[in-house]
Amino acid sequence: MVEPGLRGAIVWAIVPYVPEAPFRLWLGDDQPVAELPDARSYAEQVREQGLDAEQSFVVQGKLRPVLLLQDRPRGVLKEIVALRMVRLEELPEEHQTRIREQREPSLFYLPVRERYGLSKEVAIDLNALVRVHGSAFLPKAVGRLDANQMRVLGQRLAEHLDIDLEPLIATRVEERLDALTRPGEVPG
Amino acid sequence: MTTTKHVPANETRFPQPRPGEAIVVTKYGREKRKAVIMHPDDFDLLERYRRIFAGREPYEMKLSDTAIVAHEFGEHGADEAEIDLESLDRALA
Repeated sequence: MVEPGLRGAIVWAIVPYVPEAPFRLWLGDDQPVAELPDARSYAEQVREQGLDAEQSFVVQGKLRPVLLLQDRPRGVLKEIVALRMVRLEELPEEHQTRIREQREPSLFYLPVRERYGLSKEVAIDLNALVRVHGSAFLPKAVGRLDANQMRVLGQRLAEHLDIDLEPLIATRVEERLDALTRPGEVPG
Repeated sequence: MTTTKHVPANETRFPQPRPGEAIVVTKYGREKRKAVIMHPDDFDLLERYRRIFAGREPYEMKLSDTAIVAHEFGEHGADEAEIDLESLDRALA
């Protein structure tokens, strides 16, 4: 199932698209697919008409390469966070150029290289965070990003997700200063 | 960040603040503050605090047209005309 050393691996995975309105529900073999126009209608059906909150949704998905962002050495968490990639070939030329010239912090460019295992040039989309179940990707990685590339991606991702790292950094600095100035202790 | 305007020192008269000191210029006795004069080192410190702790702009505000277009293409599967079978074969080997 989920093996250690997956962080930085490029794997082929089944990635469903994000459900969006109108929501299509599969209610059984003998029932037509139901369609609800928005989240409020869905909630009202649950609240007032006895619709079970849990339903089978009809959503499209796709087999595509993703970049895994986490290791799962214990295997206790079956889902793993990943980033979806976008192929360049169908994008308008001016956007392709900007991505190739690495002028786009949201799009981490990967040219066709043996180490990436893809025969088309792609960009890792930092706005396309997905979760993939361990059973939903092929275990053999086709490529891999190195530690430096993952570090760059991590820094950019924190920004893209609007994560405020300042308190954490401030705490670390204070701990470090405390260790440096504590008498009789040699900081590690 | 604070918007700053520069005024030559020989064009104005004001008391000289020491580091750590703020001189509050008031009118109507002490009822209304008109200005606060501080030492440049304290102003620099204030600006650093402002950079660290000020409310951040959501990153979405910074997204370029390219980032938005590429994201839309990928989100709806319009970014590839056909699947990369060569790569997929590597995963299946």
